[in-house]
Amino acid sequence: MKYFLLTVILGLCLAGAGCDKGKELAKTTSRIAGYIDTGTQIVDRQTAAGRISKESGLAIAETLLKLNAINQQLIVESKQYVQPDGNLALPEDAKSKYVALIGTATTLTTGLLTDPRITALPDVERQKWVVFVTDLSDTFKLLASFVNSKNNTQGGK
Amino acid sequence: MNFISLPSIINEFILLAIKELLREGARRGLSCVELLDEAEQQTAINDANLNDLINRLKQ
Repeated sequence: MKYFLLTVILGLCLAGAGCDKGKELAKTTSRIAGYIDTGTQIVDRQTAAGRISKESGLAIAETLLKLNAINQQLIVESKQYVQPDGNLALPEDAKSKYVALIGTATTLTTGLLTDPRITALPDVERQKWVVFVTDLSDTFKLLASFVNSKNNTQGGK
Repeated sequence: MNFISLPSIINEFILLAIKELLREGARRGLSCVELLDEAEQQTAINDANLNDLINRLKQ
């Protein structure tokens, strides 16, 4: 129940996956930016309240910083492919770059889940972060599905 | 009578999930260019906030 709302948001992402893939790709980069903002605020609050150690907070914050840089690259890259009519259309040769960046993001999130500074967290806090990081990783994977889809990124001004 | 403090039952994850839902609503109706611009602005804010947080945590 605690993560019902995040699950609903992810459900909305998947529901929109069948149409306007270019717009969904752009929207997903915005969602990732929002999740990273959320994660930053939670780390700040939890470390300030002493509920997680500074070391654990640092592990999460440093990973979020790298994920944010990857998302920024994806956004800058995507802007190049916005057509004069406002649609986003990725050329075939851009796909591999997107897939590589998204793969790096997925590896980073997986690495965070096995980081000793995270596995050492108390069960209650660790479970919250596992769900958060998994949601973030799933959102990156959703982005990959838009990139890899057959008629990717056509439509959606 | 025991009072349960609000923060103990409404944790930050739920409050921030609500914020995400509000953001999701705000994204509706935006064009590709507007969505990418919004995302780019948010990543710039995230970058500044995360660097600030990391510096504070390292002290």
